[in-house]
Amino acid sequence: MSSHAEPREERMLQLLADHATDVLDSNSAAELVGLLSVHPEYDEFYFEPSVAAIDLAMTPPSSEPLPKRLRDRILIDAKRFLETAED
Amino acid sequence: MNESLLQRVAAGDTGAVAECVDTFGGLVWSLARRILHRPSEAEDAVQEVFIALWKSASRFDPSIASETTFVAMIARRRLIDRQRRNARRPEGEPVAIEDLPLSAPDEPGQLDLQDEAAKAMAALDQLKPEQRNVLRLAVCQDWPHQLIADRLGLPLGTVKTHVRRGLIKVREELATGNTAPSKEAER
Repeated sequence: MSSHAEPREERMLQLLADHATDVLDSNSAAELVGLLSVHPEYDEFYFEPSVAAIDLAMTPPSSEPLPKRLRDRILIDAKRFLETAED
Repeated sequence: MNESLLQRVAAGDTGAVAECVDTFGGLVWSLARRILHRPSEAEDAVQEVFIALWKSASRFDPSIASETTFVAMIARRRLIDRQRRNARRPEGEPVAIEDLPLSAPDEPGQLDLQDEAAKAMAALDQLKPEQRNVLRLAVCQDWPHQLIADRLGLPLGTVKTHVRRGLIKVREELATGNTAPSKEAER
């Protein structure tokens, strides 16, 4: 796979890595869209799980619980979301 | 077969939606507090994250990531987008590299952090210290690549290469659990 990527695929992997960890400029974003169309086995979220796992590994979440009033607001959102989803 | 929590959310299970808030609320809140700092903004952002999570729940694929990693992925993307809209970081003095935490959590807590976090750490341990530092600054501190290059005195291309190879290594580790070094990530 990635260990022996051809130059165009390697460029796409670089853009996917840039996309996951920085901001792509418009030219690079357009280039990535073009490369992904040639390599449908990849998608723009290719490295996102890796980034999330690294973040969880290096900065373990604190044990601070969700504030109760915020939890209540989210549950109201949830009710609305489910009602909309049923429509 | 038992459906996962997110699969039940995707199916419109009311109980699962509330359970999702209780299971992942602390994780999302903790990420929001770290990335956004201001409590009022963090609260608004956490509400947005959960709505995004419910909408995205059908995309969850347990063969790619655990539920915890999936939730963290959705949350990080939303929170970082929001933070970038506010202003580019860092403001003031950056956190010293040596001050950043290096180890995986000692206590697994309620979430299944241990497995994937440990795999990610195992992959990171195989990288050279410079590669690991670059990845840490890019992912945990959300520093732009150019800023990392400037602060570490590295060419921008080297920073990008370190990030790419590090992510490839972690992805391989998460997919296979195999710790054999890859040629691409080792270089």
